Amino acid sequence: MSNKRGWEIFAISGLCVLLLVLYIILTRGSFTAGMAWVSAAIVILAVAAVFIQIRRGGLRQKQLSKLSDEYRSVLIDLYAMIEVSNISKRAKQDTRDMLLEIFSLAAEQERPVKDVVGEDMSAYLDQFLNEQGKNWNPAYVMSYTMMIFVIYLFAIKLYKVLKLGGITNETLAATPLERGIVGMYAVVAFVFFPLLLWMKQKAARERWNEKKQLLVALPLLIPVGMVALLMSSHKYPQLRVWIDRPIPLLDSWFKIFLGLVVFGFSVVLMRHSQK
Amino acid sequence: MEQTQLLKGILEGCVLEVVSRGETYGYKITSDLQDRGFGSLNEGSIYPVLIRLEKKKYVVYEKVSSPKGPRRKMYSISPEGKAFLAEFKDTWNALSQSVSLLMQG
Repeated sequence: MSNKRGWEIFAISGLCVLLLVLYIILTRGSFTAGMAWVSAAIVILAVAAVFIQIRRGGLRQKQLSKLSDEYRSVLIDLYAMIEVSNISKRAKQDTRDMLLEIFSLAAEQERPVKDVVGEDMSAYLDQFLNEQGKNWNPAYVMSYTMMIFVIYLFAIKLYKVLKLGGITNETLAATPLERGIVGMYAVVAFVFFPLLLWMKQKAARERWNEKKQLLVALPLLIPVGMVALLMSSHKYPQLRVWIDRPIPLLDSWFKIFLGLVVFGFSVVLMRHSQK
Repeated sequence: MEQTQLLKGILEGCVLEVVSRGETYGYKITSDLQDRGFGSLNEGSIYPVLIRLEKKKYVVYEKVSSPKGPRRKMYSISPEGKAFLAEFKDTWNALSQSVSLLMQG
């Protein structure tokens, strides 16, 4: 397994722990059976993600094992750049297959790797990525972050409504979303995720070494900071009042419908922006 | 002037012509073009053109097992590709004649 894959597994596990901590703090210690199920689901999803990463790593390692060290090292870096690009999953696989074909045949002919990729690896890969889709464009970032935000809101709304007894007109109206939660999710979706993606792209394109790759963890300070803020909010009554103030979001069927429209529009725009 | 810059507009037609001669794959297309005088081209120029031709449905492909390396995309020309190639040849013949005449003074 490459070091980069190890780093991804570390990041997934870290995010899982962070999510659990956030969740426990948001529920303010009142842990019920329902919450235990949600926590279990988070852990299962994280374990599944780690398992997928290890399996993918194993498969790729097997494919790369026939290449010389020189070719393997460059191809691993190119794969890392593909991974953090915004093209569709199918296009990513297609590009990886093309590169593996080129590298396998070029290695067989004992061509130097620089003869294949030239001096600038990023420019070489951009030729493929630009044909596969528009890489890293504003429409993609906007639709992706909006989609995440809407999913977060629906998830917390569902949790609240189920906790109150089920989905009815009354429970919809009686479970407003607080300003603190909406604000935190907005920051995570619109600031944290784009920043994390941008850092990961930069790290891959500039081929950061292991030490410098730790900088990718910097955006994690945003959710950690927000957790700290929420934890200390009880010391500041005015802040607590501000955080707990309800926002009339998703409190009627019409607003739920509007939320679904926004979600659908984000998905369509995201797909379209990848073409 | 670099040959690659000059070739950009006509590369689709050239790749399509190679594909029209029989089922082939990206790496082979590159070496065929290099053997025919397009020495400045490499895989980084040809594979993206193949992606474009695929999207325009000018080529179709079948994935076949390869003795060495990953499963290989074997390309062949589609009816739409044949129509485009015929049009490209007409345009190119007319253009190259005009350019030759101009250059001869």
